[in-house]
Amino acid sequence: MLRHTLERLLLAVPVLFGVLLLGFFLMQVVPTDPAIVRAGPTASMEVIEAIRQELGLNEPLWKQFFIYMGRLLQGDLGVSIINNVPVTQELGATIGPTLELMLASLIWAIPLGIVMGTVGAYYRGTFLDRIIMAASVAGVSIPVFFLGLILIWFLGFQYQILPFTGRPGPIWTWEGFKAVIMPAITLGGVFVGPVARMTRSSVLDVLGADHVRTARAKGLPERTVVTRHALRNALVPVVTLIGLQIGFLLGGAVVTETVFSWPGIGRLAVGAILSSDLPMAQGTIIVLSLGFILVNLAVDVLYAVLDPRVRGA
Amino acid sequence: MSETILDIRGLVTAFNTRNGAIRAVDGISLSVKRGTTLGIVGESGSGKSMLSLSVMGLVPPPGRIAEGQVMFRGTDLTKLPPSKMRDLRGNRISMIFQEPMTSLNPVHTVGFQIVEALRAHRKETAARLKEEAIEALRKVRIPSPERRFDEYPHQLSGGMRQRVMIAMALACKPDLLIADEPTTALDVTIQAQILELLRELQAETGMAIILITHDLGVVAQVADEVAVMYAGKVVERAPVSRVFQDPQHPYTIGLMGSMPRMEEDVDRLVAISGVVPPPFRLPPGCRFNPRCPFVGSECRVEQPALAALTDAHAVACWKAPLEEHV
Repeated sequence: MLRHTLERLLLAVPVLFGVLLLGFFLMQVVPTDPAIVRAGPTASMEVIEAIRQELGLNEPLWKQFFIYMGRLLQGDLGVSIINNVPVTQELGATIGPTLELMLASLIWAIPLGIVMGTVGAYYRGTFLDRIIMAASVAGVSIPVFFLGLILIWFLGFQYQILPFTGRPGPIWTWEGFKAVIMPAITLGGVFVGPVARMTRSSVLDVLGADHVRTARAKGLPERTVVTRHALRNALVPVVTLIGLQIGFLLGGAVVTETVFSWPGIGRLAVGAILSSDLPMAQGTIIVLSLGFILVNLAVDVLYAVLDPRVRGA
Repeated sequence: MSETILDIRGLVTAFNTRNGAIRAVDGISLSVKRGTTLGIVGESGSGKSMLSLSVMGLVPPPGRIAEGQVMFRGTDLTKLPPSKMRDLRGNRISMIFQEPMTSLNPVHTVGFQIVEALRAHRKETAARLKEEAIEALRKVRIPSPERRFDEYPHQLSGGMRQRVMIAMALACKPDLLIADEPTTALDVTIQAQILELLRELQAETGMAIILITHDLGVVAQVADEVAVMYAGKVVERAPVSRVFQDPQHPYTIGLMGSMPRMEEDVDRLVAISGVVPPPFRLPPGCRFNPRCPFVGSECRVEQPALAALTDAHAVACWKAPLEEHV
């Protein structure tokens, strides 16, 4: 178990390196000169040249990469071209709200999706099953921004039950809790459908397995048969899907954060890209990639928890 | 020793399909006494597995028991509410299955799965349950049961897994064990060991066993009585020695691949040509008639009933006793 985890951790290192490399070269191919952005539209050629020197943009590419990597290892992601704030500082300020939002979304969406899928599989072909599947299709089909706007219109504007803009405080404060509800519904809403569908098909598969028949032959109650002998075994593909979906959730977070003016990393990334703030954009990409790698790592470890056959291998 | 544990009377298990109700088990009557073994023999598709699932109350939907009674020590199981049936299942009536590879849940330890079976029917402390589970493993001659307790099914060989299945089935000391092809997936030496084990355990506990198989060799080794099934019906029923010395139904004879009392036509009977007809395309008359070497005109018109030849020997054939027709 521990060995499996360590192995996965080691395997994540080259991936991380690849991400950093890609992050670096991505910014090289963007047809924007950061020095010009930094200097502003009225600057003279001399000023621009000076800035180029200062940013190390005249060095050969490989040397730039090493400088970039060296600074990265020291936790230095550079300074925003737009407002001169260290990138790490901005990232640090936005990562909390984003994690908060994602957690608040997943904490209801995953259980709901799993329950819906399991119930659908158990009552396959019935009216209940069809309603559940229709609901999950609807959940997938409604665009994030649309659901967000509908919620804002009804809950925020018409009935004024919940706030719909900004983040007045962390989630453990009452104001902060109320503020996260609508963004979490919006972002989690996209998540429920795929999880429900994957759970349904996976549980359906396992329900036909021999060991489920054995469990029934032992005289176990249906609830135990379904949860302990069907769902438990069916979770591996579901966990895989959840891992992948969290990647999309990062993208969904960008839209949700924009709709609800949530001060998260998604909005930071969009802002940085739109304003050609290369160091900032690079920083957000690295953090988001790191998040993705961590999620995948967690999925790999979860495999071993869920399936003892993975542990030895 | 002679208490009748299970008495199946006119059991019909039907599946409603678009083509109407099909009867996987069609009017079967059988019984087993304490301490004895009934072998049920037949090809795949003969309804023998469905028969055992019917006894367990585990007929998969849309199948259902349409007619008949399953009397288990005086109680009709077909009339029991699901919760009462669940109390019996794995407790008084247990079942082991053909595929030891897939019949155990791969994500739980062997020990947990046995404890689970015990806990479903006994109110005892966790420590006591564990002791009992280890004892059950020891009973089926699994070496170092304390260690095996914490292992997962994939760490065990096929024979060991089947032993675990048996341990699980017998943990609550049932009155009746239904073994559905328990040795088919195992190689021959392991097969013999498992059959021997079942016989020893039966001698210890006095349980009745229904052994379902397509292998007459297995039946010869362990069964006291044999019922031969064909297309959802019992076509012959007799003590095991009678069936081997004097098989009466052409299908039984075909299954044995030889015909001791008839010199001619031996070659034709080494293998039975054709397959068991699917239950939605049964031939008129005797269901075996398209494959039967003795077929006569009456066989194509009306189904023969299971009729007693002697006290213990019953056969469903117009030509029985066969000797008179050859």
